[in-house]
Amino acid sequence: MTDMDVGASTSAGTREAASAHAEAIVRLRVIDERLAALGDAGTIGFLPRATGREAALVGVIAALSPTDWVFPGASDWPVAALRGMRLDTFVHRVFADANDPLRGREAPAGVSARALRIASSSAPAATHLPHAVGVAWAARTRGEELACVALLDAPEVDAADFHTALNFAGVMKAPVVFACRVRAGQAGAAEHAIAYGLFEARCDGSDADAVEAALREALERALRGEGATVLDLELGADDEAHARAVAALGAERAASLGARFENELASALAAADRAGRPDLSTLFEDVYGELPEHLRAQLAEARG
Amino acid sequence: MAQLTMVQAINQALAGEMRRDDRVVVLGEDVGKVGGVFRVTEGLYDEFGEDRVIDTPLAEGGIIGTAIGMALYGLRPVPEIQFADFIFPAFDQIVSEAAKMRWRSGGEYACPIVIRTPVGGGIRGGLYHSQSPESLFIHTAGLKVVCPSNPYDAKGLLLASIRDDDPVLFMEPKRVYRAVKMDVPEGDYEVPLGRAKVVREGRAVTVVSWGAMVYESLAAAEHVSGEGVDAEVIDLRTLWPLDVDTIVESVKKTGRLVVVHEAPKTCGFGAEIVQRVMEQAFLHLEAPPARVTGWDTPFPYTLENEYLPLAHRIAPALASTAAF
Repeated sequence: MTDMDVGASTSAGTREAASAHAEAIVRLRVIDERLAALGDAGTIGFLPRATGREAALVGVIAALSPTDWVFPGASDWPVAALRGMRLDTFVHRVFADANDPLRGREAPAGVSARALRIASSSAPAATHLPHAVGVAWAARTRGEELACVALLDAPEVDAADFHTALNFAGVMKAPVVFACRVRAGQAGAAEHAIAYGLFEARCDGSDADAVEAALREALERALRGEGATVLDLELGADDEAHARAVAALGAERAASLGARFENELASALAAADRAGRPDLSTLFEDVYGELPEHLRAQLAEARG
Repeated sequence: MAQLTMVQAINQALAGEMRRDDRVVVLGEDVGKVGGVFRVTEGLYDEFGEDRVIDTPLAEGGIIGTAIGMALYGLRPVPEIQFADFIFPAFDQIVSEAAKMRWRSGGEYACPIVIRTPVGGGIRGGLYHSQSPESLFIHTAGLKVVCPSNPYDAKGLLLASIRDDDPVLFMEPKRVYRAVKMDVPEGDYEVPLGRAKVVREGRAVTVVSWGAMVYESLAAAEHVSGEGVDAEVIDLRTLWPLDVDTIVESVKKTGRLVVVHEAPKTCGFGAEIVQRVMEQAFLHLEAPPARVTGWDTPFPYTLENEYLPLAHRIAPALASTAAF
């Protein structure tokens, strides 16, 4: 089965990197449209569209080293596929079926992959941001060279945990970058950095190369111990990133890639169709490390 | 063996575990140089340094949120919330994040944090330094809730909590902090989670309580023993998971049940305990189970002794339940 690695081994700013980014964006659009159709048909649950955020996501993931952690926001389901989750596993996740690594517990947009250093996403606004500070701080005090990137969207700037996370990042000098997708007309996150003693930065969020470069700069600064950065990824129109990717690849190559990827996706979707539902026991397991007596009894009651 | 207060016993547990396991870190408001609002963390900053004893900004959501991150990384954080009354800015982090982390990640991530927080009244703290919000957390799947009543249990339960792989809310009855001294071994020992203790044996009526109210229940039991009512008193120690077996075994013997807690009556944990007994020992009951609790009001300042279920309110309930 095909991996969806965006090409982290390519050097940033090279023609190869730009091409890999463009391919990743085209592939992501194929997934997004196919899954959106399944969502509309009721085959899977609600999945927010990635439209307009493709380049930002591709650029962010490309900038990370394998040891870095990423903290996805509530709509950042593509990060699993972009960071190297197998396509069939990714599709099982979205289908929340018997082969879902999250055991069918999360809605399609939920994402978590410890092996890929992807934190577990949740729906409440900005609650994941202090977690990124905690991991970054812990790693720094243990002498491990890694940084954390927390993704958010502009409306989350209003949430208390956004400000709390920035405050703690400043006080703890945690190697973390808050990368905020900002659409036209929205107030960004970066302007708040100064209040907490953090760096602020902005880049074209519809340009994966620009995102990768801006994030690499912020990550390097964080790892030098200079502090955290709040980075606004300023998104253009919904189709801008995809249109740029198609232009970079050429329409013919983009269409050919899209068709090839449709085929790969089709077999993963077929496997998910056959997978069935998670066992009833998965409802009760993992609430605690060990199944306590009251849940053992409730599982027996649920089985009837 | 040294006679220690609960404050000293908890301090000894923290210091010992931090020496034994370098993953253990302490964080919270003034837990470092000051040693905590109740001095529970006194001396830890000097011994372990600022990377393991962290003075945080005054933001409970940030304390718990960053502690969750530290736990995801692999540390064993022990965050302190100065008073349980101030835990609510962190409620979202505890309930939506820590409690659900293992489950929602398919078992990939655990969240082994121990949230220490003083609870309960009786110290003239008024409505924001006296509350007992255990029910709100017991109601949340994924959390364990502990409330020791004495220094020995406090040390052993805290060590067991820190070594547990699940998030634990460790409620410390502040009225007991310095009011009781008892023998506490200097060495390492655990009091296992999920096990209640019969602290007074009797045959006439079972009293279930925890934290500071254990002492009130024992005082009430002594009082009614003069009237010929022989009460058995159970100290729950761990509220969740609940040791139903110890309660049911006792009620099967006594046929009568009184639950005592400081929190308000309605939807208090006492209601759950009563229902468990109804489900498992209904035919053994000789009287309606009773609850002696705080009132369904905010916690008062001047009238706190009228609010609290002190011995003088418990004793009549024991007598009437026994005589039913």
